[in-house]
Amino acid sequence: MKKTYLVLSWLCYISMMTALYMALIYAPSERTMGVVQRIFYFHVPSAWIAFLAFAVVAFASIRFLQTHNGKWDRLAQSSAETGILFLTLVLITGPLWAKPVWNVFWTWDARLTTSFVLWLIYIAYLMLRHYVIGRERGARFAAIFGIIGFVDVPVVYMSIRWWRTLHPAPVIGGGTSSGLAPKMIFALLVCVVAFTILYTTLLVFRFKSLTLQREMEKFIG
Amino acid sequence: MDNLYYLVIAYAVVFTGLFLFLLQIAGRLTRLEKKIKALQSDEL
Repeated sequence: MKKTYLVLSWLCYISMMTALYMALIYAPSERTMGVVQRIFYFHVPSAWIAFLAFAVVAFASIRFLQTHNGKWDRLAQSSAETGILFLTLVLITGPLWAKPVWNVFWTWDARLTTSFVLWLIYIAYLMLRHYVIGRERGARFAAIFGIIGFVDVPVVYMSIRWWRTLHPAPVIGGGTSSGLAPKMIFALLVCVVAFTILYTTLLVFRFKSLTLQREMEKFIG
Repeated sequence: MDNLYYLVIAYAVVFTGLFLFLLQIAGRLTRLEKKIKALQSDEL
């Protein structure tokens, strides 16, 4: 087995196990919400990584439109698929956390609605890529869509600042009333690192599989 | 607190499954890379 893949897989496993320990054992329970608040350590990193993935889509799309090099298109597709995976995790862990705290799984407030719209945008991005006839044409359309779609990311991020929402205010950089206990911040940072490694691993694997698929197609014709 | 330990074990099982899945993909990618290299050298 190739060393890079093996190293990435092991790194991913060790970091995710550490994240698990940090989130469920190391971090203290929150005073009002109790144990359920621990979802936070997977919910927030998933959201941040989804934003990062969509930023990579926008960057790779710009580079593809500039250079017409297929590797940028493959990077954009890989990152979009991985980003959707992380955003799906956000949309699953969010309602699981909301039910015991808000007494509802879902409410159409600004943060939740814009997040759901973001998820739909990137599902549409993948559909567009597959439905347009001609790979080059599909890649070009997807690149334009990937750049425009990214506009929703800052809207999702700013939604809790711009509108009154049920969703809590940001815990980091959210003003004087925000903040976390040092142990919670450390646990969150470890989880962010673990999720970044997971994203990188999935991105590398998907990018490589798309590259090999294209090369194989050259032989098949 | 006891319930949390069950949750830790459940997640550990899920992450181990994910790790095994990643190893399987890594193995497949490596084999496919070798196959393509062999095809390319045959063509030359």
